[in-house]
Amino acid sequence: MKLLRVFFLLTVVFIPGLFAEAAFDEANKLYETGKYAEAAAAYNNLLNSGNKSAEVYYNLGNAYFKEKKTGLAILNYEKALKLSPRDADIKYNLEFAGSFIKESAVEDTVTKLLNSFYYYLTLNELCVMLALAFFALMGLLIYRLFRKDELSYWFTFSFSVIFGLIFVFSVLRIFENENTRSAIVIEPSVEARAAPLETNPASFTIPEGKKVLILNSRKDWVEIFLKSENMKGWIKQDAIAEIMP
Amino acid sequence: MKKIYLFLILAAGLFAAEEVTLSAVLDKNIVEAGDQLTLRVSVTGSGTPPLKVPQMNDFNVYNGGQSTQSNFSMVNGRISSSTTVNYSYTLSPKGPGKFTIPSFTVEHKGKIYKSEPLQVEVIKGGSAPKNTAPQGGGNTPLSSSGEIFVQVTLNSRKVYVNEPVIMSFGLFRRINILGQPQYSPSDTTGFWREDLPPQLNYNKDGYSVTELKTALFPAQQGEFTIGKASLVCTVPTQGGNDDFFGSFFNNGKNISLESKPVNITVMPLPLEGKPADFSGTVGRLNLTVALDKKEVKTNDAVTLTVTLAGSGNIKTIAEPKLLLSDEFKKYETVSEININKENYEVKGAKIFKTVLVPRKAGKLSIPAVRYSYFDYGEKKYKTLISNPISISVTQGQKEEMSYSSLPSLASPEGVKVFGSDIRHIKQTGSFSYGKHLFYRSPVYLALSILPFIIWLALLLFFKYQVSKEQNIAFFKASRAYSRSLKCLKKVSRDLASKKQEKCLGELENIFAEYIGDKINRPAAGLSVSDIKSILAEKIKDRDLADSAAGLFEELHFNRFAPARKESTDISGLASSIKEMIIKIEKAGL
Repeated sequence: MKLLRVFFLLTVVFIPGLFAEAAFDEANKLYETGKYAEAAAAYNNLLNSGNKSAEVYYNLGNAYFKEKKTGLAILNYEKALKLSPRDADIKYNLEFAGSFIKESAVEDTVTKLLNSFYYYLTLNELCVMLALAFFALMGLLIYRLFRKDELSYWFTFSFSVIFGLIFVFSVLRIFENENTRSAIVIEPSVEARAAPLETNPASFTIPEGKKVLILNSRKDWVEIFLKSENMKGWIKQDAIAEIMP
Repeated sequence: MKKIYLFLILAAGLFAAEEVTLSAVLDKNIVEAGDQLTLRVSVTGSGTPPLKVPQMNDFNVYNGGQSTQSNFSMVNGRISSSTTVNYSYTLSPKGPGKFTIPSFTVEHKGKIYKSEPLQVEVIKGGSAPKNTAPQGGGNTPLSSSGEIFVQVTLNSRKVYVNEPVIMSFGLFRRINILGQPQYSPSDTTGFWREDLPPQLNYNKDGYSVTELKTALFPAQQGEFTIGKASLVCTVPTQGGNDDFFGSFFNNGKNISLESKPVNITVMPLPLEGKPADFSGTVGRLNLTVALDKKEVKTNDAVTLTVTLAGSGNIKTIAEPKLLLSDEFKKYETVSEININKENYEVKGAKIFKTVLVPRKAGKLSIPAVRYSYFDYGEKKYKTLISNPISISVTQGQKEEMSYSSLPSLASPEGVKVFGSDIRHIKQTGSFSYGKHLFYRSPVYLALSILPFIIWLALLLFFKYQVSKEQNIAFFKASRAYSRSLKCLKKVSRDLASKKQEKCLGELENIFAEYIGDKINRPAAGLSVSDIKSILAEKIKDRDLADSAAGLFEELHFNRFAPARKESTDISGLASSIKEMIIKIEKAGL
């Protein structure tokens, strides 16, 4: 009875991983034989079963790109980048797919550099770093309860500065994560309206693959904001997909 | 009608050189079933993009070849060039009815240009009004006066599309003509013309004949009429009068001479034996393929020259296709035309030059060039095949070397990009089941707070410990005075009943404990020098400290000196201890 329980536990822990590995290889084979639609479906299955992985999102993005679904490709590259923000391949393909949409405002190099610095770590990595810095700081403080020497004083000083910086950084990122909802337009040239009404005339169109911020949602409409163009409009909910890995 | 169209095409070509204009023209809009239509499509523009031919299911379509005209104009120092490509197609309707020929399209620089769709009505044979009515044979010489006449003759009345026809315009005369005659040539719409100079003079049947030859190349199939050619010349009023004065003063009269129009049948190229790669070219040709260098280095250019020489309409010779591998980088082919009109025949060569750059070293081969054309002399299709050419390529100078030797020049070609695509998929994935955010998890928060709690607990514990110690000392210090006085009273009361020795020890203890409590130190370990230094430091009164130390020393001495025991005044000592304690208390210890 006990043995059975152990076996069951092992199955629960290991089999999903093994299954995911096999399914991933299967989907990759489909991709490599040019069956992009089937490959995309296989990657989606894998993701729907709860296996979140930057690689799967990236490969899914590739499959969609080959299928000429630029919006969905960009969406999945963005998701992959959230999980693995330093991956050069993901960045390259995101940029490559992005070059297919006609951007009216192109990010300058400084903004790009700042962004890549700001998003260099994932939120989880940042949290781990924050915890480690806090551990070190607290350890030093505890040490100083017993012994107050000069070396430990300078260590404590520098670690409090480091901790303070990481703390501010983390708080900014956590706030951003909690309060901003970005999405990608997944339908070709979506018409944005000034009000969430079908009868309202379109005020501008958004190309497929464009990143938008969701401000509000009402029934099947969402109010979106274009940062670089500084424009607001209402579009149908199903024209966009949120970047939520 | 045709003229107007032609003019429109030309005008469009001139005025809209930057744009691409496209026009499709039919020779007739009503046709009998079984008859044939000629469709001409002209593409004019700065480039010559390929023409997309729509599906025409109601007709059998025959390609009649293509011709290219280039036009350079310089207006106010700006040079514009336009090229007109004429395509001709022969359509034979499959059945009667009304049909629409869909638009021809051309894509140029991302724009799509369309021609107007055309309507055709195909009627059942017999009653269709022909627009080319048969006219009397123009071959027989007819003269207006018998003395002077013109005639147009053709060397053949039934030719294939693009086969050369020599048209001769002859002036036959028995009389002199005065001055320069004015010649207006025949209307040869539907043909390419090449004038064949020089004019030919000979005598025939007593006539003095002046002949002008022109080569015609029919651009499309069908029945054509070579229009009348006319000549206005001045002849003497009295024909053949040799009178000196008469001829001298006679200004003569103007007469207008016209030739009869001549019919010609242009046949489409035969269908049987038509090679798949037929280029549309008609002529009698030879093919030579040459390469200017046989040994080159990589990234050096070589020129491949393909020459098609022979007779026929040299200008319309289509470009041969080069089947080159990726080992060569191929640049655009430029062509030049040499035309030679000796012996009243259009001969010449069209030379196609292509610059090739070998990309890799080794023995590379340029495959054989195949060229299919229609030989009008033998009336069949022919395919010319050249020999393949091999070229040995040695590795050219390395990029790094050119960097070091020519630091000011950038390397001619670094990484060569042929096309860009997304990067390939990843083969291995790291999976985490239901990845979530750490900062939301209570475990993370608890773990993060844990060291803080440890620190806080330790801090509080130490604080408590310190405060507790401090409390004891304060308590002892505050109670030291009253306690010592109380003890002193007790000692003096017990003085009678107790031994002297014991009392002395108690007195010393009282004093030591008082000082020890006050300075938070155990009384047992106090020495005279300790008391001296601590008291001097704490009460800032050296005399008092000295006297206190002296008293302590005396007590000590009395206790351990039994010889003096009997003489010791214990009550006096007790009172002096009391005084000292009061003094020290007042000094603020």
